[in-house]
Amino acid sequence: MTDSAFRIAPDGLKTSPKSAFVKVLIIEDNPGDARLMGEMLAEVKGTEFDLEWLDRLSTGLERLAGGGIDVALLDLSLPDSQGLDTFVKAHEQAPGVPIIVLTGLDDEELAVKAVRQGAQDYLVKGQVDNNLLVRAVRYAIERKRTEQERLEREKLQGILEIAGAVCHELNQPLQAIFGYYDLLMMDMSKDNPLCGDIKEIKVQVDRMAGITKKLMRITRYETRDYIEGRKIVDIDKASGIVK
Amino acid sequence: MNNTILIVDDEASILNMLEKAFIKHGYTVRSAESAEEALKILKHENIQVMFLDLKLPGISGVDLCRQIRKDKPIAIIYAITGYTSLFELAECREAGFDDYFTKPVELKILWKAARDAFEKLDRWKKG
Repeated sequence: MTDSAFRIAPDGLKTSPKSAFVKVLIIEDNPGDARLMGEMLAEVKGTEFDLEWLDRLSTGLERLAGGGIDVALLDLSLPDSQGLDTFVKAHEQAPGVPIIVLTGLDDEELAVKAVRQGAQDYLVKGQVDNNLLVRAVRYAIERKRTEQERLEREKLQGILEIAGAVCHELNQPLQAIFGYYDLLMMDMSKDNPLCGDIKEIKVQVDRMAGITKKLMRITRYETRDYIEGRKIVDIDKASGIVK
Repeated sequence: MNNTILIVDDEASILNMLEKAFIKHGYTVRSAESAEEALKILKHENIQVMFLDLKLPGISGVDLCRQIRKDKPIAIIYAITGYTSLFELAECREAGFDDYFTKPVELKILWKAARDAFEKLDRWKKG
């Protein structure tokens, strides 16, 4: 591959001329290393990689926030960030993006720590060849995908369990209120001035019953923003009432 | 004819309320807070219409229904449940429940269920 056919630059411009399927972000301050990995990926047959290269963590984080990255290759030693901290920040910025940590020969222990904290894999610079790099990239993407799916399933499972418990606990007192309301209204003459107030209580209890009915229909994991960045389960969406 | 209804629920307030509700409509009511208690009552009395809560301490409502069905093939047995998943509904059918109601349910629906049950039993006896 010649310079004209494949050039990447630290301004983050996409320079691969081919339409790409796998979007790879390289955050690496050494142009030689970045370029070598770019060329290795470009030579792969069967899968096309769309590469973006940035040489600072700050610009890398910005790019990750922009979305659309399938996998990130992250050098832990950058001019504006060193060590495990580099990984932690990137992972926090984009917890859904699989990250492969790049490290020097003397840093393997650090890389293992990053894996422990959620990096998909690590590669030791200077010991990477085409096959190893491609395998690591593909494996990282697949592993992250199954990890995300498992997470979603577990979250849904947790929600279903809570929904079940909440429904049961709330439906009991609601049943008592429903029943006693009906009994009360049977004995009350229509012109009793209290009728209106009691009916209003029923209107509000009906609302509560509506909520438990929705909870019982939850089949998906959906959240909506609540306050201060907190997310709560979106009952309408999760129960399929709102698409 | 016998117009007794058995209701089983482990919550006293609901049991009380249902008792009042069915008595108001002229039924005789037997109530139990557990499956074990219900089985004891059924040993001595001929009751053909029942409302069982599914979540009971000890023997569950579903298992209670299975046991009752062995001796009472034509009894009308309704489930009242706080939470139903499709899986549970299938289990209810299999256990022999005639129908189920999800809490909270309005009394008029339970009254209609009771009336329907006795009408059905009546028809079968005549037929």
